[in-house]
Amino acid sequence: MHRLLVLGMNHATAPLSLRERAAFSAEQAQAALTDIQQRYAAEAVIVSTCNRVELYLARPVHAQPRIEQLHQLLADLKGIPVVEVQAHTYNHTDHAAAQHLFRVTCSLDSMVVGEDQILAQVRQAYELAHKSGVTGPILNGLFQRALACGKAVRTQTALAEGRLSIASVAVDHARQIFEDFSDKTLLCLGAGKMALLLLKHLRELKPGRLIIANRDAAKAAVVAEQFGGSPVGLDRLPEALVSADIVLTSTHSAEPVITHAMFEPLCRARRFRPIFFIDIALPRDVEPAVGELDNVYLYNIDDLQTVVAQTQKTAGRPSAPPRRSSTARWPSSPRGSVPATSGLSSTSSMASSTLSPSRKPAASPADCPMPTRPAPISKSSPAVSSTNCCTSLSAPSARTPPPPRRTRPRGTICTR
Amino acid sequence: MVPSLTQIAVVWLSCLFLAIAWTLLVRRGLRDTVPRSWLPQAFCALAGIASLTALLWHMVQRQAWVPAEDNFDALLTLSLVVGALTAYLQATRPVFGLPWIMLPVIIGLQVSAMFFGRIHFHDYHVTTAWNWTHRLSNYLGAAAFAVAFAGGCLYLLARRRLRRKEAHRHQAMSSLERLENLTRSGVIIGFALLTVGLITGVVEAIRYGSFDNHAWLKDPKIILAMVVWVIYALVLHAPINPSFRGRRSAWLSIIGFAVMILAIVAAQVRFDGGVP
Repeated sequence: MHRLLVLGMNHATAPLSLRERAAFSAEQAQAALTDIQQRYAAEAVIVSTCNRVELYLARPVHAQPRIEQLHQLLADLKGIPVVEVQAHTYNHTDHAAAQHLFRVTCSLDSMVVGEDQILAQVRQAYELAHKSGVTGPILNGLFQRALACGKAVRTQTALAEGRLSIASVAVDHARQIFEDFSDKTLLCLGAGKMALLLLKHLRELKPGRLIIANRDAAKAAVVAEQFGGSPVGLDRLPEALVSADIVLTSTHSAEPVITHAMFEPLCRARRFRPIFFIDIALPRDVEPAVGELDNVYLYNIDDLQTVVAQTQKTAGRPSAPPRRSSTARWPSSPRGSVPATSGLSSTSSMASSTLSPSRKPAASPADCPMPTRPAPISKSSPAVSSTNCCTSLSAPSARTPPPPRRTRPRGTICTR
Repeated sequence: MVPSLTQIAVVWLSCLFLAIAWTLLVRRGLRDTVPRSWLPQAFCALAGIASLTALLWHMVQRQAWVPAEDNFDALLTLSLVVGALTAYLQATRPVFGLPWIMLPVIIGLQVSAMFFGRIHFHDYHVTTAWNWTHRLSNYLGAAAFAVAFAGGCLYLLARRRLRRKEAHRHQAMSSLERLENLTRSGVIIGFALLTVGLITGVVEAIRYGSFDNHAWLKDPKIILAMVVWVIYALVLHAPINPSFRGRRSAWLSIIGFAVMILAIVAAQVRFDGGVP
């Protein structure tokens, strides 16, 4: 049976330039999901982050639609040559697909193992798909269990302990460029949530001046007041770039905001002072050619995450040991209690238990505390956005409140 | 007075201690597992004691206490000054990697002191204050340029690491701004001293009548010293023409120091009664 399928690209298989072209905004994802359901009558979820773009499908008919059709669909949706899509995507079916999702939610497939943003992003992607009415019994059960597994890994293992954040890497690199920050100017382009999280860390450098530039002047003013800076409109961006020493960019722009043609003439006005760009947006806000200029140090999200991964590797971080040696109860295991270690290391068994049609029914409702209907969509949770980056900003993820538990008759299987 | 073989042996011992210290420091810098220890500093201290012993011994032997009276004395004194500068910088505001560059420079100066002191020894016959100021300011300027050279090398290394977006090892390099300031400080001090050295050299040349026969035009030592002066003038030009800052400034400080070394070598080899 090849009904479950995941087709995607991630940081290991596709360069950042391709991933930013393939990324889906919330609106684009919603439209694509609706299109998929109309074409193939399949359940679908699109997970789009700065590290990956993945399409999860529960196909109504065995092996239909085919992989080639989905390659073409993705290529058509994003305007990417189909050969490029084929060269940089991977696909898994059934157990392998479920196992892949579990690895993703447990951040084992992330560039920075143990990062905490992926769980919220997968949840947002699932909630968007559910809200669009394109999920069904297979993907509902799969995603709910995967999210529960991801949460359990974070709370019951040491996987996330000692992780570095890209914010700390950004601060560290700023210190490798500049010695004294009291006479330096920090420019924040964009006033979104991710930019503010990073700004909180950069503020510990105590720069002499802070400028907030945003398309929405009112929002820029609010952020400037919060952080003790001065707001400017985007029309004054060149002027702000002349005085800036550290530039943090995180806008929703689909095109680069700071281009080579725009920035090069400013270098002489800046007296060729070194400048540090931290571009955490996807698609990128700063054109890569800007980074080729002398005295310009441009770090995009991939660069920061690579440094984090290298640093963790150098520090010799061990694979996640369990925080507790006592057995822990896996929510979705029909067999009751299983050790946390075996649960962590055998995501395939959990995936199998999710997919197997011959699973034993739960002995009692307490053995399967997962809700029998999908969690209600929280109105406060933001829609999936692929144009702002994500990982490891050391901030607690937005969480939806747990749904009320409903008593079920004995013997029912814990899926819909 | 030509240095004796025993004095040469003591200087060799100093070079050996410095080489051991350098090896230990580089090994610690390249491998994360090597713990920090006091051994490199201990070997550097032993080298300093050996060099000072050789220098004082030489002064006692010639029965004169004015430094830089002959080429062996001058080069050995220069190595001690560079060593003292390095120790001071590392004690006050350490610069990661500075000893990696400076220790080979010190070893090179001591080896040249031994070589030229035995093979091409010459007495400077320092009889006037102008002469003494000329020699001392040139050699001290060279010491300052050595610091600028080290700052320039480390700047390029740090810049390369940042451009390649490499994660730093267990110890981060000094910031680019710090290294640029170090280079700049070395160049400012060295340039001032070199200017004094050139002016006093002109005065001495006029006193000796060397300008009358234009012999100075053929003296590589003078030509090279003037080239060094121009190179460092370009580096100091950066505030006016900022395109000379950063990477270009680092490269110029490296090239300037290389030409400075050639000038010192020319001063050793060319001393045949020409322009002093």
